[in-house]
Amino acid sequence: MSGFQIEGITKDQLDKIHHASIKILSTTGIKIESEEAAEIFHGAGSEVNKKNDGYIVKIPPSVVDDCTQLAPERFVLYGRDPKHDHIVEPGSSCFTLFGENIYVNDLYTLEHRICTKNDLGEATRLADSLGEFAIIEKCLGSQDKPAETQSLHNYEAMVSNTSKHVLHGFFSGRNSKKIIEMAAACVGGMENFLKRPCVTTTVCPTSPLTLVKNCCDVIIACARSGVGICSITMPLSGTTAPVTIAGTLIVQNAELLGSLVLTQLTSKNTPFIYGSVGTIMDLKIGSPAVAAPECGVLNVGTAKMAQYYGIPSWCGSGVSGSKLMDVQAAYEFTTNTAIALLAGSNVVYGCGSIESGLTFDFAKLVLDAEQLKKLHWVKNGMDVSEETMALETIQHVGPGGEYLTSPHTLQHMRSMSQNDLFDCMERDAWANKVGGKGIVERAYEKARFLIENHKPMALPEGAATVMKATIKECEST
Amino acid sequence: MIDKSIIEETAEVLIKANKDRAIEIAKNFLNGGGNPIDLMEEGFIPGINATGDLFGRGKLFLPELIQAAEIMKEVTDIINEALTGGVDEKKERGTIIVATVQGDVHDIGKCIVVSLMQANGFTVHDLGRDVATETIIETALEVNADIIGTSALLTTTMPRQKDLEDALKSEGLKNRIKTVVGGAPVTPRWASRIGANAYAKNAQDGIVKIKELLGIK
Repeated sequence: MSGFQIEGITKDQLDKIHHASIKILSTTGIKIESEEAAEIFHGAGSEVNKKNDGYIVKIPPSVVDDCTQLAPERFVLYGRDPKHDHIVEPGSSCFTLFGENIYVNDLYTLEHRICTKNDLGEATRLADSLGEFAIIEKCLGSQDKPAETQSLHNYEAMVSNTSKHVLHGFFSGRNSKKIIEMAAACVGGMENFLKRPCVTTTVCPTSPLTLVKNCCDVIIACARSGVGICSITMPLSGTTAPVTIAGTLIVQNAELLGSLVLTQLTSKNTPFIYGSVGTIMDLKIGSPAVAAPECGVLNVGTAKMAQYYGIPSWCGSGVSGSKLMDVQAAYEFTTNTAIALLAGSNVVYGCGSIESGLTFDFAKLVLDAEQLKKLHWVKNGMDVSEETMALETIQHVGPGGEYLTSPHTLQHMRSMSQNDLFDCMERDAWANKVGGKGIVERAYEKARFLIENHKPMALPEGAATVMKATIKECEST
Repeated sequence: MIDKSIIEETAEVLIKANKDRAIEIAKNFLNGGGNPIDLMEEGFIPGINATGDLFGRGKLFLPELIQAAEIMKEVTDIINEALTGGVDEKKERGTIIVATVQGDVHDIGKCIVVSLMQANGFTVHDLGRDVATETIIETALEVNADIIGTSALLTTTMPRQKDLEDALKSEGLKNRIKTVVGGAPVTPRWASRIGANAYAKNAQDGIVKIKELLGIK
């Protein structure tokens, strides 16, 4: 199998970005806003100096090199259900949902409103039912729950509705410990959890060049408990990073390497995913241009830098600036998602979201899934083998014959790409079979059907009670 | 009244970020015996308004707006110095405290708001990100602020905006200091629920609301 891929950046260019980032880390340093993290860096030979509300940490190149060696190239993102185990390794790719929506288009009324824990449960159930999503990111927040314990509510809503691997931000050191306890209850105890951790935390370095306290606390708490770290930086060229892509790549690389070093110094070989949802700031309106072509090019840089270090990558790509489920949303999703996928990103992130990542839309998730199936098909490329060359069949059919009834067709037709909602029927059939409805309307119908009918794998007995008690305990202290 | 050519040139030097020429215009005018208040009101304030307007219409880039705001600040200092009797022109336009609330580390939007406020001639104290309610109030009292503007990007940090309202009320400062709230998840409903004086949906709207609150046309 050949497969399609984008190179986009040369080995020499990657070397330059790497050396520049190492120079930044060892001479300018990064700001660490946690005393405990600063001590960990110091213990490994970094120069640490107190500055205002944090520490400037200068990391020697040798420490960065050692830590990139320690981070595994291949690991498993375990599902609660082993059939959903997803192997992350060079060449593998998967898709997941955009993570931080705060509004939702209501599933039934389509009203644009603040999202709730119930919405998160339903969106997760929908993603659980869609085969294109191998792992499930928290796509919206339980905005009806208190800030301090919201991440616990988020986890409860998600794990109750999916048996796939879950990713979400644990928010604080304390919540990290509590979520790990909750996750353990959902897989039959801590011993099982440590063998097959079914959750990964996301953390965000703050551009430029800062790891805030909660980011450090979550990295330390999770690495110590055997939970993987997905570090996602969000540089905005022209504001929190240089206006040029190469400069942005250097800043984000330094931030990601900083969080990687903290992860590996806390606990060797902890799974670490190298992620970015960077893009440019539109300097005429002062808003992030989430679907700019620069985002696509930056994603190529992100995927290739991760490959350079032999660690898995995560590219934020599919978000649209459109407020509606419309043509803009579709164009913007497809372009940058295809680029990230073909650049070899191991996790392509951003499905189900419009309005620059503020609004989750159920129909968008369904349609993104259908488009992803096609993109994945393209990435796999063509197989040129004796069987696929079909020489004997061509000779047998000969000039003027037909292939419709050939055994070779019967044998291989199921591997052809197939449409579900996207439609290429002739007009009358379209009018009769789907009542001439547009694709967005049909996507909402499919979303409603799946949410109402899909049965996620049940939690083990007692797990729901443990989770409720954990949340209650945290809310009363 | 000041010369029409000066009025035109003040706008041009701000838009083109020609700091040296802006200072030269101010000094020449003042050395020639011109009235500092005329220079401000007829020259530089309309100039900076025109700059803000061009930004609003997508004709200028944000960094250009920031440069104009910085030049405006220098020119304002020169004009203030020239004013006899120490009347603080800036003070008349209002003093504003701006901060991203505690727990929130996202502040790029707030930085844009600050530039626009400066461009509009307000005195702005930017306290940065992740700022505790007590620090906001202490600084507001210290600099005798007219308005406190806070932003929150996360719904988890929005309650800190309510904390600020509650603290201002309990310390009896609500009549003295007005509040504006903003940030991606913040809504007009949230603003009225917590008792904020205004909601700003973006930086431009923030300026409109501040002017309304301060009674500036």
